[in-house]
Amino acid sequence: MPKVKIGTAFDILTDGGFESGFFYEIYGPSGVGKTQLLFTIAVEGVHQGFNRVYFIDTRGTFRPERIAEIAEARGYNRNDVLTKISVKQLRDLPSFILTIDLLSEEGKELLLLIDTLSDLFYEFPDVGIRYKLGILARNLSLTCIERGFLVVATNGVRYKGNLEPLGSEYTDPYVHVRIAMERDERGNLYAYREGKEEKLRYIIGRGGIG
Amino acid sequence: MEEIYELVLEASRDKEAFKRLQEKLKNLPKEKTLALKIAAKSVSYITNKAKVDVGKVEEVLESVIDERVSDDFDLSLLNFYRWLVKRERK
Repeated sequence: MPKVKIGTAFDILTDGGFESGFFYEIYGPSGVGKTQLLFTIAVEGVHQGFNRVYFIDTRGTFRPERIAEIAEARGYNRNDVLTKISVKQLRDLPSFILTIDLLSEEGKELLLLIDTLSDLFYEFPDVGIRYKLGILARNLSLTCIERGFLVVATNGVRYKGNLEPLGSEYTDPYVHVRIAMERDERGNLYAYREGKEEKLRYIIGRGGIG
Repeated sequence: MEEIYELVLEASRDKEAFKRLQEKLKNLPKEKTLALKIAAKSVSYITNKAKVDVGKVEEVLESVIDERVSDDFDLSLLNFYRWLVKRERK
């Protein structure tokens, strides 16, 4: 099954690349490059064997011109990359849940990038709706293992003694690998895999995450 | 089942153990197999958290079952976490 290497610290954190059959959650505060990481994975995903890449955009963050720039900086043809990426811009929760469900029934070995996983669930004052985040995470987790999907979802953070992914109490049993991205007081960017201590530095450049 | 649950915990930290788990799961029903594979992939950071809250995980799994027509997959995952909660409390 395809594995996506992006040629950075993230290859080390993922034991050699983002792997099909896994559900990854990337979390961190704004401005650390979570969306840039998804763009980079999209570009390399197309180049490394995924014929279909879906980008679920819940925050209006999708930038085709930025993807084109990353593709060119990495020596790929921008049109080849862009034509294989389908974008779904979803700004309401029912559409988001329905679209993920429908995509989960589509074929095999699909690369699904979600920016972001939990935000829409937190727009409602009704806490009960957040349990549906658990169901969504359940379905994504199952789809990865059953159909060989590679799912990478970004998530914001909240402070509960330390920084935690938004809605982690609902997604904990289902996410396979969690990676945190953060910026230190000097402005350096670091990423680490939850449950492991090693922190690795990365940068955001013309070629995406480097 | 306890032996398999222990292997799930080991598999969450070690790739070789994951292969052994896959062998063990071959004779189990598909839903149970999927649930335990997911548990093996996700349980490591749950148990590595500074403040372990597998009880909350159990609550969420129960709520997911409440919302759906529960099937063997959800029940198998819940049973694993119930076992883990008891184990943590010992």
